[in-house]
Amino acid sequence: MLVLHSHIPYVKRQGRWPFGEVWLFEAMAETYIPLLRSLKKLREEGINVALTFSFSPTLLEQLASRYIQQEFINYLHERETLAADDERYFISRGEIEQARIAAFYHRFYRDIRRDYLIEMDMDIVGCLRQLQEEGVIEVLTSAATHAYLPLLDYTSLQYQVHWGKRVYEHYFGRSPEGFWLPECGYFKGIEDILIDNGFRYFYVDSHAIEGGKPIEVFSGEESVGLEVETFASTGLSTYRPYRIEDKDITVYGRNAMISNQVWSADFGYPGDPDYREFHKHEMRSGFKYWKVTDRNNPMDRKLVYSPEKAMVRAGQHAHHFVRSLEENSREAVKLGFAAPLIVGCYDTELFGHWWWEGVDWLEEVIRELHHSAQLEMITANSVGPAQHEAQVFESSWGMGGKHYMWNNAETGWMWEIIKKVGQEYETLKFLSYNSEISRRTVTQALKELMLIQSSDWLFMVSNNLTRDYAMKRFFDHYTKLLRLSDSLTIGQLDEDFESWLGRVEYEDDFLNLRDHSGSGGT
Amino acid sequence: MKGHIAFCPHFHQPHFQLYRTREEAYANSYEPWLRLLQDAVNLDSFYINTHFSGPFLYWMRQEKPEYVEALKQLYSTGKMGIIGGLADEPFIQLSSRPDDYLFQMREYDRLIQETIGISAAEWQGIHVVERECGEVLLRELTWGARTMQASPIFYLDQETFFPAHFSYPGSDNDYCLRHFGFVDPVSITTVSHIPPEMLYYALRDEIAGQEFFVLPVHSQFRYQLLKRQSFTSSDNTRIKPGHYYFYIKDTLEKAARLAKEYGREIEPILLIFEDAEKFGQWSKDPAGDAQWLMEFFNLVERDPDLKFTGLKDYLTGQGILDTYPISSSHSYPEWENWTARRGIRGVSFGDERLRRVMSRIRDLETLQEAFEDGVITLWQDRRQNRSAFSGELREALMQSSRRSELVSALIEEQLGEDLAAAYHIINRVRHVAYQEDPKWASRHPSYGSSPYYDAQGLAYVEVALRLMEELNNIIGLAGRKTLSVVDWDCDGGDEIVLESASQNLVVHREGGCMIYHHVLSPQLAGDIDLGRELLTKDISKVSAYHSIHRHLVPLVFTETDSSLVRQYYPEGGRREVCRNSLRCEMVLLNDGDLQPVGGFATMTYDIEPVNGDPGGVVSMKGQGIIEGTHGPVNVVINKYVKMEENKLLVTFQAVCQGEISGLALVPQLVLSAAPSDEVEFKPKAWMGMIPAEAGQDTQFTFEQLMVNGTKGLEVFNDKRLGPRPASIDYIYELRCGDDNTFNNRVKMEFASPNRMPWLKVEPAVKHYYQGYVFPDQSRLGYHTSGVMICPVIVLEQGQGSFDACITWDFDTSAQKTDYERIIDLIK
Repeated sequence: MLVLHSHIPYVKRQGRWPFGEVWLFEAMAETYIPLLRSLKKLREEGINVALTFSFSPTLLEQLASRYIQQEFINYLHERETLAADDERYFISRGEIEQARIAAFYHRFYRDIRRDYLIEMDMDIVGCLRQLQEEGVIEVLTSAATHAYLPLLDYTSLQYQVHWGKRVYEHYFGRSPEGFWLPECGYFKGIEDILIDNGFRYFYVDSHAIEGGKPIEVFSGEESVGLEVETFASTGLSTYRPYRIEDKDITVYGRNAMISNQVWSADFGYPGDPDYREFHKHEMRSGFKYWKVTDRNNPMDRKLVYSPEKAMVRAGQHAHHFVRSLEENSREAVKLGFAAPLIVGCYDTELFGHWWWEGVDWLEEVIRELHHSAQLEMITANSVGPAQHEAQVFESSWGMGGKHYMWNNAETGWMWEIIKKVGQEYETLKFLSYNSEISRRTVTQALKELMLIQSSDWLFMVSNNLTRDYAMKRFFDHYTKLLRLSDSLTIGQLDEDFESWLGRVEYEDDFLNLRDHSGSGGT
Repeated sequence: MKGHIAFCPHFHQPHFQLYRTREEAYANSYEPWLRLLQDAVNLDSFYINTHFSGPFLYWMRQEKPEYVEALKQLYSTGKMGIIGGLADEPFIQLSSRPDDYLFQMREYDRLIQETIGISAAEWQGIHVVERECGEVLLRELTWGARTMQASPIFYLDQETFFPAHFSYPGSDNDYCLRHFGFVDPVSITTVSHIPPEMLYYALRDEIAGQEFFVLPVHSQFRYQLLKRQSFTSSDNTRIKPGHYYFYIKDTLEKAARLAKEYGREIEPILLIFEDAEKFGQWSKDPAGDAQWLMEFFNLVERDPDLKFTGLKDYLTGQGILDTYPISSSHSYPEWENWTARRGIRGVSFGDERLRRVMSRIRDLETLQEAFEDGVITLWQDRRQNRSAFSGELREALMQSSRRSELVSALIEEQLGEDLAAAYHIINRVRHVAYQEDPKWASRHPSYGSSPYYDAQGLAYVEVALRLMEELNNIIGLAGRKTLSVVDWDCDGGDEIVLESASQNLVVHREGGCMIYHHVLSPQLAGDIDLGRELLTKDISKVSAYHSIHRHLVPLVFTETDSSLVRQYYPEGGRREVCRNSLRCEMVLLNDGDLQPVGGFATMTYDIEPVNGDPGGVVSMKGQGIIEGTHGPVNVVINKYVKMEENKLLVTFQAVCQGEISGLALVPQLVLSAAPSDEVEFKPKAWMGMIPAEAGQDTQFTFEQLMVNGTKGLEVFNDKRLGPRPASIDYIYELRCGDDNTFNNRVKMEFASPNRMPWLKVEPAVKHYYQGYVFPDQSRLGYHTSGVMICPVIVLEQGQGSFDACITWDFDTSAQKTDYERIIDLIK
């Protein structure tokens, strides 16, 4: 079972470049569209595909936005122009290898635009819906704004899960059965809210089920003085799904081996010398012309990338991966699992965006799995009820295996605010709304509340790479919420306020809720 | 933006194409094309520019008249236009004559008028063969077009003729930097420069004052058309009609934007040029291809911003973007890759085998020119037209673009219709020999060696040569010399050429071998009327299949042999060498192994005619040093070739001036004549052995014997002991497309006072262009290269000699039962 989790924070009309909408456009061009193209191609080849995707509601909302769709076309035109400029530039300098790669990028973005317009009619969500209806994929939902759930207050949790479900229903015309816990963040009790909302299963990291050391070992633990907790060994295994003890919901555990094969900084596939180097780019255009070469080499010692060679490597790695899966499965059978389940969970954006060759790798993996006599791809909605019970550790797939990445010395103050605005919003519920503007105000307040809760701002502050942008967004939503709340409380909903509200509604038009009660449509 | 699409499929099958190949293409492509067009002409926005090569149309007219009639009906809808061209799809720029351009165009015009009913004045444009052209061809075609009231509109590859060029100081084009190491501050491109993205308009140019128009071909739209299947195992690219439509529209929009910046607001045009056979024949899925094309046509139909157009119609409606001279004297990049960037002359003269074709055509052209000069002189004499300007007049006539027509008229007037007709057919043969495919296809990395086009073309040239000689005799010109020492193949050294009514052969110093040998049946050699009849029957409508080889065949016209290649650097830089015949090796016999010594197969021989022999004898002498038992030993080889009536006598003599044990002489008797089955592709050839009356047995080794099995040709080796052969007969079958099957035989009678413990038989050439063309194409066999027979003659007391008498008979009645021992080379 391969599960790809897709999420981009809400960036629509929140800045273009270097931070903001460009993140979404990059993911669309480099990951979502190539992936969907691969799935369609595989289907045309008669290959069985059973892939699980989760799409966060913020991402779905943005992908479905007319504004984003139009801007994405502009973005692609810009990329094509830049690539053509680069090609001419390199030809003029006699740097033919780079010129070839520039031409490759030119074709790449043109064909993305082609497929986005011709094959998808600019409707990625519609494409997902169609593939789900055809049984090629299963789509899960997630928390409304990808909030880190284990540390959220109960009411906010309910909002996050409820609206996660509602957004999904709007776009897919059916209720979701599976829920992706943002960052695999689990705590005991979340399953009750999931059950209340009709969910049948969710996913956790391997140590949440098996115990032991978390599989994600980051290089930064020592530098931040984080002591990685070793979870008590449970004797359970991710080779099978479990029913949460005394609850009617199933949990799937991520398989450590196949996760590391792809994710590991030391021996994961994306670090291969022939693959494209993510971190070095041409200053004029932003395109990447170099290969990893040697992970330990400084950036000025990188050699020129060869797409053809990299494609060959991707095919070899896909072959290796499937053979490893088969070996893993044989070992599991020896351990007594008659039909072992191997769950691989990855961020979707790893494929194509971070790991340029990842989509081709995945396509080839699926092709090889189709021909494997030993393995079969499945999705959770085709698996029967779990036969075994388990208790699951409070955990995440982040550094240290718990909450550190989102809750640390750098982000403590943010949690204070998140709690505060949660309480603030609760008080608004008891007010009466007898005017259109007051109903609009409380609705917008709920949007701002949920946008503040995005796990992304916490993560960005923690890793200190895009901290300024995250802080700005966090404070923007906070101050907006405060003004909304204050104006409602004191009843100052005058013309100035209405004008300001109109602007905020335009900027943060996430979830087109009709009212705050949860009964409105999107 | 309103964008125009000029769809220009090119329908072509060469003269002498294999029957089965043509029929397959007809079923897979041409028939489906007709059905598709019958539907497509109902679309409002549809228009197609069709180019049918002359060879295609001659064959269609002959074999599928109902198809031509159906095509003709379609043109009456006004949705289809004709792209004009040349009658024989020739590389006519190789010709030595200035009148051939117009001749080709006028013949094509006549053909199209007779078949489709459209005149040159209505042509939408003119097809340039393989878009391979320099300034002379463009100038001549333009001039020719104007004389015929046709519009000189050509389509030429953008990448070749309008190359993108960006030069800056320090760039790859900075020659000071490249050669001296300092940056040239003025290494820049100064002239106005249109980017490739804007080259979607008609462009004007002129050469020597002749104005013409070019519509650029952008190769991506060739390759993307009908890209439904993989080219290679790693190719997953598929282009759907929607994708293709997207690319076209996107491109035209960009071109329109750029043109606006340029200062012109005219509507762009995108020209799609592609071989028509890509539809159905290449894919073997005509239904899928038809669906693809129709979907594409419908997408254009539904788009109010796009429409199909004729080339001339577009130019009439929109005019030109600007005068923008082409970069001429180049070929398109793909072509240039495998011609080492030397164009069609590079191919034809850079390749030994093709150079032989050119040399033989030159022989005919020389005779023809002498005849024409003689006819003009005769006319001047009879009209007492000798004046102060008679020389100038003759020169003017000889340089005229209507030379052959004028000469024809003079012959008719002076010598009668009969001779004029003979002259006309000779001229026609010469043109046919310039057709592009033997030059193009047989040296393309994706295609195999295709000597049959040339073998057949050369057969007609041989007959034409004899007929030409006859005409020369009639007007009192001297006949050809029976023996001449001349640099026949233009390689800087003289060859010896022997000519007779029944044979033509050329002896070369390198390897001391025979590089060309064409033989005629006694009936044909002795009856010029039969030759004329054959030419008239086969060439007047160019309906020939391989039946011509019932009367004559090139016995030695070998392919280049990769085992002889001279390679200078592994990266490139090499000379391909033909196998030829009568090479010989000295070998040391070592436990059944033959180890060549002394380099006698490729060394340079002294060649000279033997004085006093009226029949034409050539001697060849080669000398080398071999390490003997007691030091270096001088070895001398003498070879003699004697041409007699309907036979060829060859002698090999080796003298070793020292003691070397186990030294043997190994002559190579090579025959390029090969079996062919145009109908089933199941060629057959075999050998019949006639044993000598005495002598020790001989070990026969047969390599690469072939059996037509269920999985195609299966290959195996055979070894057997048998009586020493007194002669070997090589019999090969020709099954022709005109339901005509016959066998030819070549008999080789051997004599030697020495022992012959071994005899090897193998394909004349096993690999050509190895490592440069696809492996399957590189591998040759008996059916593609002929046979090589190598007797091993052991020297005794330092001497060895071997005589062979080679004779041939056509349409032989020889049967396998006539021989005690036979071996099937291809069964």
